[in-house]
Amino acid sequence: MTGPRWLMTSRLPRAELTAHAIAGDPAAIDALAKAWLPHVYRWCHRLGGPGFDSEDAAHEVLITMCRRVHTVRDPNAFPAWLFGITRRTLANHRRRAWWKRWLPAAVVEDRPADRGDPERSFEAMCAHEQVWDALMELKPIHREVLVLCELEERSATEAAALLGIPAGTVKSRLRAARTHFRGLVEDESNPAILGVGGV
Amino acid sequence: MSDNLRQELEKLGEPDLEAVDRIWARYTTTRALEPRRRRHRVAGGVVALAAAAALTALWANAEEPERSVDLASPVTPVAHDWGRNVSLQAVGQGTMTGTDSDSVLEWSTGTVQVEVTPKTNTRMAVVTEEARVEVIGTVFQVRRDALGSTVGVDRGEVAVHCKDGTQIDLTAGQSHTCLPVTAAGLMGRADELNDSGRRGDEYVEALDLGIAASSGGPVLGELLARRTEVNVAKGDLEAVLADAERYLSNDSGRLGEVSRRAAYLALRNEDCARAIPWLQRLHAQGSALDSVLLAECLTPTDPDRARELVHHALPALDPAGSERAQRVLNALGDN
Repeated sequence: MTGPRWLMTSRLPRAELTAHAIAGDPAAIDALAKAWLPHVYRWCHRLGGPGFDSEDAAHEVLITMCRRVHTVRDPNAFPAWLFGITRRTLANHRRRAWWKRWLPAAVVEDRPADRGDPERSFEAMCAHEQVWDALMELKPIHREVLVLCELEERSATEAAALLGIPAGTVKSRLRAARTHFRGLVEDESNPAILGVGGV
Repeated sequence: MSDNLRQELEKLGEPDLEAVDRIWARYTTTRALEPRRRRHRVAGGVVALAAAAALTALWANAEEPERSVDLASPVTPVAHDWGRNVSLQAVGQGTMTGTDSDSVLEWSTGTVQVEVTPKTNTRMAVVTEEARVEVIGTVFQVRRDALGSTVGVDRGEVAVHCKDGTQIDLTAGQSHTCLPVTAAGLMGRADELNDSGRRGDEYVEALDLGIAASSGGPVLGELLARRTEVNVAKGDLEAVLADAERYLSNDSGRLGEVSRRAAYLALRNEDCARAIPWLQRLHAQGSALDSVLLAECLTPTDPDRARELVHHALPALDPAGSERAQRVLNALGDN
C-alpha cells in the first residue's frame, strides 16, 4: 500500500458496498473508509493548504463518516455527502487552527524535500509556495472545482455529483477559477513584484 | 491552456503518501474503541415509532456502566474517544470517569481538546485545580500549566467556574484563564510569567494574590522577596519596607537580598533612619561595604561607632569600597 500509484489508482467502491455500510455492516463501513481514505486525504491536503493538518482532518472525516453513514438514504449520494463532511471538517479545523499552537505536535512541513542542487531546490520551493499561495487566494468554491477538475482530473459531471451542483455551474466556476488562478500565478511570478528585478 | 494550468498546479507536489497509512492506523485504533452497533432500518412508520418509544424507555432506565480511564501522554498528543459523543485529544495527564453520557475529566497538567457531539444529551465536565468547565455539545480546549487553567472555546458554549469564584460563559473564539488558587500555584504562575519575560501587571497580580492566599512560611517569604524587587523598581519605599518587615518572620533564605533592597532604597531616598536597621542586619552578616554604608549613616549621630565600623571593614574592601571608607574617615576628621 505504498507509492503514488496506490493513491492515484485507487478505485471508488461500488454502490453495493456503500449500501451495506449504510445498513450498518461494520466490515462494510471499514472497507468504505479504506477505499475513500486516499480521496479524503487528498481533498484535505489540496483544499486545506500548506501547513494545514490534513492527516488530522482526514481522520476526523472518516470517523464522522462511520458515525453518520446510516443517515445516508441513497448510496449514489454518498460521494457528495462525504465531500460535504470534508468541507465542514476543513472549515472547523481552520477555525480551531489557532489552538493548534498549544499542542506540541510536530509542525507540518509541506515543502518539496531538499535534494540535490540547492539552487534548484530553492527554485522548486519558491514555485511550490507561489502555487499554494495562488490556490489559497481563490474563493473556496473556485478552489474546489480547480482541485477536483484539474488536479484530480474529474469530469464536470463527476465534480457536479460531488459538489451537489449542476454540471453547468461546475463549468462556469471552473472558468472563473482558471482565470483567477492564472492571474494570481502570473502576478506572483512577476520579478518586479518579487522584488528581484527591475521594473 | 488547461495543460499549462495543470503544470502549475502540479508544482504543489504529491501529498505525503505515508500519511495514508498513518491515518488508517489511527482510524483502526479509534474504531476499535468504539462500540459497534448494527443499524437496521425498520420499515413501517408505526413499527418504527413503537420501537423508538421502547428504545427510549430502555435508554432512560438502563444503568450505563461507569468506568475510568487514565490519560497520560506527556509529549505526544493522543486521541481518545469516550463513547460515541466525546472525543479527546490530549497531551498531559488526567483521569476520565463516568458513563458515556455523563463524564468528568480531572485534568492535572497539559492541554486537552474536547469535542462533544451537540444535541446528544451528553454531559461532560473538565475539572482542574482552578476550574470546572461544563459543556453540552461543543469543541473546547483546556490547558493546565503553571499559569493556571486556560479554557478556550472553538465551537458552542461552555460555562467556566473558576475556584476563585469567577464565573464566565465562553462562546466560540473566547478564552479565559482561571488563576491558581494556592500560594504555591500562584508562585508557579509568577515564575512562568517571569521566565517568559512578562513582568508587568500579570506578574504583580500573581504575587499579590499569592501573598494574600498564603498563611506564612517560605512560600510567602519567596513571594514577598519577589515583590520587594518589583517595588524597588517602582521606587515604592513604603511597600518595600513593609514587605521586608514581613519577610523577617517568613525567611526563605533571601534575607540578605531583601535587607539590601530595603536599605538601598531608603538610602536612595536619603532616609538613613529607615536604612539603618537593614544595614545593621547586613553588617551582622559580614558585608564589609554595607558596614561602610552603615558608618555613613551613623557618622552624624554616633561617630565612634562609625569609625569602628570603617576600621573593621577596611581589610575586606575592594578599591572602590576603600575609597568610600576613606571619605567616611575624612568626614569623621580622621585623615
